[in-house]
Amino acid sequence: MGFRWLMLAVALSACQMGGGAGPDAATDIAPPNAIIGPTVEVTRLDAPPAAAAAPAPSAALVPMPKPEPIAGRKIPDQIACEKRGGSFVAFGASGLMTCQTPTRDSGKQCKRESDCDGVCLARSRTCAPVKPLLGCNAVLQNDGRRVDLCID
Amino acid sequence: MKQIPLGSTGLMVSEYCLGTMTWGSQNTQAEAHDQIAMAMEHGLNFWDTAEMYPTNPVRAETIGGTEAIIGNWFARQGGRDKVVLATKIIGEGNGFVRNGAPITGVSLRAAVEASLVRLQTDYIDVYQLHWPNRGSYHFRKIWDFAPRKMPAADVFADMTDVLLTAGKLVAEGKVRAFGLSNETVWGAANWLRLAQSLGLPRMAVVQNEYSLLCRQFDSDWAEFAAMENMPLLAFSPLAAGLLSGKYAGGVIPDGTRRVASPDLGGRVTPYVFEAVAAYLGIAARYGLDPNQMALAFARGRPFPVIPILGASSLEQLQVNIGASKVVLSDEVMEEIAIAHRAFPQPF
Repeated sequence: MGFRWLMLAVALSACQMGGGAGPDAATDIAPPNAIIGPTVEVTRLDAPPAAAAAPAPSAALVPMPKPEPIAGRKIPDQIACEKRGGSFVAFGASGLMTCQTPTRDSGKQCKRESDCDGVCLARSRTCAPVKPLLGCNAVLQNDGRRVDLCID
Repeated sequence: MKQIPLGSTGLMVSEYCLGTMTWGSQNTQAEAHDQIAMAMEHGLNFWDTAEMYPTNPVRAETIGGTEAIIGNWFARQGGRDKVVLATKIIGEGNGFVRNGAPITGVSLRAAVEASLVRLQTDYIDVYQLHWPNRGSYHFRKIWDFAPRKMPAADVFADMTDVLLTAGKLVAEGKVRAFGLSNETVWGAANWLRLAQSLGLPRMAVVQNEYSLLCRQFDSDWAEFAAMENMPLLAFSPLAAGLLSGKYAGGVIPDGTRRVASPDLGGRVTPYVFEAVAAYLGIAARYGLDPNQMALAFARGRPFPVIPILGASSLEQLQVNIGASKVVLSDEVMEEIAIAHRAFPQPF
């Protein structure tokens, strides 16, 4: 295979949200802290191929953010992801890909993360539509505190 | 009100959409919140706004004002999960926002983040591009439309840049679906082609003008919308109030849009009141409210369509919501067809 699987706990930056930390901010906002986010399964697309079996370059192996047409050129991980109903998406500038799947309870009201299949979004107090939720989002932890979760 | 699928988005929405562009100009926040309450009572849970709103007039100091009014409702009443919310990035040429810069991946993200703050929410259900960067024939520009001379490859590069960011915003849960507005068939076809080939979000809806008096959508766009399951979100289905009859004879009643915009964005022409009179006559002959007739007509077109109904008073809103219970008879449709042939494009 021309790629390899990595299991990473993606470094998450959790910081107090500027938009919610002003003088009028709600009082349940947590102080800056470091939290451990969910494990994100990633596929590195720019890793060197295994020495013994170097396939011809595939359009699907071009690092993001410059995706090439993928019809008929999907890598097995992408095929497996889509079979599970997920989307094979890039995140950050790392060139890494992950399988993002729909949650069971998108849009449902929530008060804490344990109310949701994914995360509980803080402003709307609704469950997120996909997991893992990439980028930076204000979320409610299991203790009800609001933090900014960044997966990038 | 009936709930229907919104094209290919997976979202279920009311069969009519609540327009909001008077909130913050013709309507105060309190009046807007009263409209929201009435809409929710009737199951009108699909709302459309824009970073540019309120309008008539658009002013630098009121940009984002309508979104803030909606955000204040969510903060006060909650219920974000009960609403399917659409908004828009303004785009090129409007100097009130980002110095009139075109829509790019960078500006798209900035606009989404700003709207989320004003709306006091984490996600936008449908995010639309208010105008294409390259311009189009909408808003009366069809009378002297000349396609901009530019390499198609440049347009495709712009679209790709936007789609790449759109893909990231979906992955971040900030936007559920994307849409177009004031767009052409050529533009929409290429948005879909690029999205398909790149594995990026598909533009799911188009918001263009459509009413008894403005039927540009009826040919190529109608086929495209039907074949691609891209619903039309029909704006100005009452032709900026003309079809209500309140401007009949050319009057400008106090408190109406014509006070700020006497020609209603180019819709008041030497021919328009004759056409309006024809449709008012049909409504009168069949005992229909003219607003409800116009809205039901738009809703019943043979392509996927959700009319956007707006109002500047609760009384108007009540009447317009009532369109959901109106079915036009064959006789009414025949008379409308005759009037359409007589007045095919009054503005």
